[in-house]
Amino acid sequence: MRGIVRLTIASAAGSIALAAATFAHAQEIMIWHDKGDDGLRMIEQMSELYKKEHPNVTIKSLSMPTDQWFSRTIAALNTNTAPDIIFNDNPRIVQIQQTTRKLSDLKPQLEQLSADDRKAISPADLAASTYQDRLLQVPFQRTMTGLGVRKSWLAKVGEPYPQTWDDVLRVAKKFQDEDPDGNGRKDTFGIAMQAGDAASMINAGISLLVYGNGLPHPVIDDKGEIIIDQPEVAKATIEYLKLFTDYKLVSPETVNHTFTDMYQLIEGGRVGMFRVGNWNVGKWDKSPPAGDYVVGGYPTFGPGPGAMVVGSVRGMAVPENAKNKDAAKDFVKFIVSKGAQQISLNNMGGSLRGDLDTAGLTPGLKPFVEASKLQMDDFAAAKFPWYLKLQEAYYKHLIEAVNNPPADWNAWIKTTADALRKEQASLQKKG
Amino acid sequence: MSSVALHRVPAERLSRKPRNAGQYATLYLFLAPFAVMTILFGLWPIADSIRIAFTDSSTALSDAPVYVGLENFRSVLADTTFQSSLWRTLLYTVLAVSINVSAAIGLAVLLAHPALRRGRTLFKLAIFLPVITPDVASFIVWKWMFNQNFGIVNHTLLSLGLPPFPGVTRPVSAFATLLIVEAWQHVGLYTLIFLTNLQLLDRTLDESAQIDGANGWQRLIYVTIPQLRPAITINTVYALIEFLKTFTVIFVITKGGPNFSTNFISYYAYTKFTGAQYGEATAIATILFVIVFGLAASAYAYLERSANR
Repeated sequence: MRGIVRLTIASAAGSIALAAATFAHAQEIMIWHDKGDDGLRMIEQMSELYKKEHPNVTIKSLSMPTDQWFSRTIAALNTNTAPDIIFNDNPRIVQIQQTTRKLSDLKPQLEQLSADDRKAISPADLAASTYQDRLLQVPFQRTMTGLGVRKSWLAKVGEPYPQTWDDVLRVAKKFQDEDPDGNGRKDTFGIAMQAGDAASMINAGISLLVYGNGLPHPVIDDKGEIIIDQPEVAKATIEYLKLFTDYKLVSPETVNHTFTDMYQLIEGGRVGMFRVGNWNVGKWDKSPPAGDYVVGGYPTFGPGPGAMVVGSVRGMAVPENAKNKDAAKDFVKFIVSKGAQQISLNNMGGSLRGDLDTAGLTPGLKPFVEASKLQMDDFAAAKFPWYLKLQEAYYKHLIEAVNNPPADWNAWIKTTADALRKEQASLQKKG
Repeated sequence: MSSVALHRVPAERLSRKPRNAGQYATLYLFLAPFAVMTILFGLWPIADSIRIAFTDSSTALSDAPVYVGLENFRSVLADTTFQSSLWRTLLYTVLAVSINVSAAIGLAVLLAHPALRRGRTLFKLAIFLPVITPDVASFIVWKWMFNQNFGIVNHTLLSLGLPPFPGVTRPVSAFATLLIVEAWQHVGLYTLIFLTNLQLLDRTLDESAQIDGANGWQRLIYVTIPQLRPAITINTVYALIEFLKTFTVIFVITKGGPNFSTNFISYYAYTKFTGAQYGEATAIATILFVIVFGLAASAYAYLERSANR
C-alpha cells in the first residue's frame, strides 16, 4: 500500500514538473493589426502551420480600426507594453517608427532567410520596408489596385472595358446618363473617388492616374523636388480635378469622402468605375458588387493598357521592447516561406512569391496575380520626413481648386507649384 | 427681490468656525470616494493633457518626455489652418447659441400657451425626442437626408419646383447644414428648461400687465422674458460650452470639409491626434479649454449681473 502511495506521489510530482517545464517554454506571440476578419483568419492558419515546427509557440492576433491601431501601438511602444509584432502597410509602419523610434532593425533576419525565400523579396519591397537604413519590417504582401468597372453596366451601355482616359470619360458619362442599373432614375455616377483628406485625394486619387501612366510620383521626384508642373504630371492632376469641376463624373459628396464613404457608394451599386484593391476582392466576391466587375490597369493618356499599382508593401515589424522579441524575430522569418505565403494569398489576396498555387483563386483575384504591368508607389514619406506636411499643404490647394475652379488650369498649376516649392524649402529648413 | 434676500447668508454665519470639525467626519468620509474619482477621472486627465501640450510629440507618451516649453503653442498659433478654424468655431458658436436659445424660447412659449390644451404632450415629446436619440445614428440619417442624389430634402425641394440645396457639398451650405442638424438635436433640451421655468412664473405679473392694457407681445417682451433670465443664463452658458466643442456632427457628416469649411477646433485637434502630433493636438485642446472656460465664465457673470440689475 505504502509503495502505491509513493508511486502515485512520484508520478504526480513528475507530471507537475513536466507540465511546468512545458509551460516554461510555451510562448504566445501577439500581433496587432487592422486587417479585420481576413487578417485574423490568415494569422490563425499561419499559427497552425508554424506550430508544426514550433510546438511551444502560439501566434495570436488582435485586429482594430486603423486609427485605434495607430494610437494604441504608439502608446504601447512608448510605455513598454508593446505587442510582439505589429503588422500593417509600410507607410504606417514607417510612421510608427518616425513617432517612436522603437522598431527593431530586421536586417539580420533577412540575411538568415533561405535563398528561395530571400529571392521572393524584390529590391522595391526592401526599399519600401526600409527607413533611415533600418529594415523596419519583413515584407510579405504587396497590396495592388486596379480600375474596376461593372460588367453588367458595360453590357448595358454597349462599351468594352475602358483602357484610355478618353474611354473612361466616355463610358463614365454613359454610366451617368443611360440608367445602367435600370431603375428608371438618374441616380448613378461614373467614377468613385475620395477627396475628404490629403491621403484620399493624393494617394488614392491623383496617384492612381499618375502611376497608372508610368509617371514617377504625383508631387515630388526622388530628390524631393516638386514636379506637379511637369507636363505629364500636370495633365494627370488637372484631369483628376476636372472629374469634380468640368466633367462632373463623381458624386457631389466626394469632396468629403474618405474610403469608408467611397465603399458605401460602390457597395450601394451607385457607381460604375472604382478602385479595386486585392484586399477588397474577398469581400466583394461574396457581397455587392458580388463579382459584377472587371479589373484591369489604370487608364493611360496614350494607347492602353495602363499599369496596376502596387499601393503598399505589408510586413511585420518587431518592437525593440517586445516581451517575446526573439521568438517574434523567428516568426517574421517564417512569413516569407512558401506555406505562409500561400496562406497569405488565399486569405488576403496578396503575397510576394511567384511560385504559389493560383488554381484555387477566385476570378476577382486572378487579374492581380496575372498583372503584366505594375507600377510601384515610391513612398515619399519614408524618404522625406517633411513629405506628409507638404502633402497637407498641397491638399489645401487642390480642394480649393475643386470648390473654386480656376479659369486657367495651367496657370493654377504653375502658381501652386511655386507655392509648394516655398513650402517645401521652409519644411526642409525646419527639418 | 425677495428671492435674492432669501438666499443671502448672513455674514456672521459665514465667518463662524465650526464648533467641532470632527462632527463632519462622516460627511467627508462619504464624500471622499467621489472626491478621489473626480481627481482621478476628471482633473488628472485635464492636467495630463496640459502637460503633454508642453512636450515634443515624438516623446509625449514615452517614459522620458522631452519638454519643449511653449513651442507647440507657438506652432499652433502660427498655423493658418488653426486660425481659420478658431474663427470658424467662434462664428458657428455665436450663430448656434443665438438660434438655439431664441428658438427654444419661442417653442417654450408656444407649448405653454393655454390654447394648446390638446396635443401638448405629443409636441413636447416630438421636440425632446432628438435629445435622447443617439447622436451618431441621427447624424447618419441627416447625412442621407441631405444627400444630393437620393436625399429626401432635395427630393422635396425639387418636387415643389424649388432649386436643390447643396447640403454638405459646398462650404457655406455645409456650415448651414450643421447648424440645422445641431439645432434639431439640442433645441429640445433648452425648450424643456424654458418650459419648466415658464410654468413656475408668477402669473399675477402677467395678469397685472394685462389689466394695465399690455398686449400679448408686450407682455412677452417686458414681463415673461425678464423673468426667464436665470434660465436664459443657464441655457446660454450650456449652449456656449456645447457648441464650442462641436465634434460628433462633423465627424459623422462632413469630416471638416468641404474645403475645411467645417473644420472646427475640436475636429482639428482630433486630426492632429490621428497624425500622432500629440503635442500640437493637446496644445489646441488646451487653448480650446481656456476659451470655453473664459467665455462661459464671462457669459455667466454678464448674464447674472444683468439679471440682478
